Amino acid sequence: MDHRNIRGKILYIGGDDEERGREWFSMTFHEDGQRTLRAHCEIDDTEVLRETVYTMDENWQPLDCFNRLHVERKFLGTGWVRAFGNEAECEVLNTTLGRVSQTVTMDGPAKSLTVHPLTCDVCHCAGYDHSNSENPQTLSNVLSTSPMPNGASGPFLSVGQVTVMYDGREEITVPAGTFEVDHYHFVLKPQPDGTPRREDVWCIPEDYTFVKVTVDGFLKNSRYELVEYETEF
Amino acid sequence: MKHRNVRGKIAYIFDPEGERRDFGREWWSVTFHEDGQRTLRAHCEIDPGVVADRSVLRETVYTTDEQYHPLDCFVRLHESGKFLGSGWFRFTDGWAECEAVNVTSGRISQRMDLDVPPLSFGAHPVSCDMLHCARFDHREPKTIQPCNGVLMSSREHDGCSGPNLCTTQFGLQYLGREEITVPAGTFETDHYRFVLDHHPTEDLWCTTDGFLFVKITVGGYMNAHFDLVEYEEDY
Repeated sequence: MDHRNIRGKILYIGGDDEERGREWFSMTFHEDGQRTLRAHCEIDDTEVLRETVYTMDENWQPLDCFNRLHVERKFLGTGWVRAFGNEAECEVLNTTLGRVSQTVTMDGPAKSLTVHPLTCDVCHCAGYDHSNSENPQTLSNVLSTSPMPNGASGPFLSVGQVTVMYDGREEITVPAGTFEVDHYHFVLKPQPDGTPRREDVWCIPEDYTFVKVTVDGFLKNSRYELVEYETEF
Repeated sequence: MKHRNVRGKIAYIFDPEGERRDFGREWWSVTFHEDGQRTLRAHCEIDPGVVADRSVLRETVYTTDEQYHPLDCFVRLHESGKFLGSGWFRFTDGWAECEAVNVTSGRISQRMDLDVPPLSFGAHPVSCDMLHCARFDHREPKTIQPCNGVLMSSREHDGCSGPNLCTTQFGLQYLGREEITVPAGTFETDHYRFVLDHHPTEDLWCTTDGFLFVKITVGGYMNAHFDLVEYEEDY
């Protein structure tokens, strides 16, 4: 077998410098070009436990995804998402929606999927075309399993867009080590009261492996840092 | 939140003449949720040559209720480096369903009516095999107890088909409480045995507080053992 595995752990740290959650992830780069990302996420203050297994093709576009949620210490939902052609489907069981089979049609193939682990946020950046001088760039047909910032609903599909700005190559140090990274940020709409929102992302070039995320104007102005990182573990 | 997390790694070992050969590995973790549900995640890698002449990469996320009856499961497979299938299973008291896509079958929606609530589900990680043991009725410890209509994601010994819903049956025997030592440490275990018609006999040792994997041995053509080599709580 000639695949490659990596794994890591992320700490979620609030603006008050207190730990407010954690995420364990691993990624397999398959021989056929597919990439499978597994993540188990825990958010303490809003009491969210999430399981995700998300697979993308060699161009980092979504193929299928499993998502399962506990919110406030109780089961909320479990679902399977599949993207194909210009469509996507979601088979889901949710405590309020019941058993739902959902299909959405887009005007082109799904470019990315928001499943809400921080490690998955980074995968949006793979849609940024570095051969195109336009900056920022907007990805259309971006699927999402939940419109909530912490992903604590559904899973149930919606379609939107993500605007990504590239901020250059940098070297940064996090608890897991020092990494050469690409720095991006998502251009986000402000809060209803006008408070600006911004999410900055630092990831390993080519692999789009999570190194650091910071958010301003939402999610308690948290920072998310890689604290463990292993290759070929 | 007061859930409990444990995780471990299993080595798949083939040593018919005392010459150890690792032929696979499995990373697993379990969350015991506060509402009684229990979620097991496993990533399995099987090298070709021992179970079958193909490699297998498998993702599994399997959740049971507090009595270890299946609730839902995700299975995704690569066979010899190529995608094979991805599917989602759900279980109710009256039926089980599978929504899947497979390179040969295409997109399938499968439903199987059940006469009794689902007893157990074989998703094929060896860490999942342990959960069948929860069906043993310890009020009758001397008997080999029949487990009929056990649901599976594949009837292949390495689980490398589908995924789709199918069933199997086997006898389940309890051989007592034992202290055993594996590379991850020394554990007090319950020892069970699967007695099967079309598969070598399988001996299983699991923790006494949650059917967590410690060791498996499989006889016959497979002549393999599966050892817990890493174990961590509240990591």
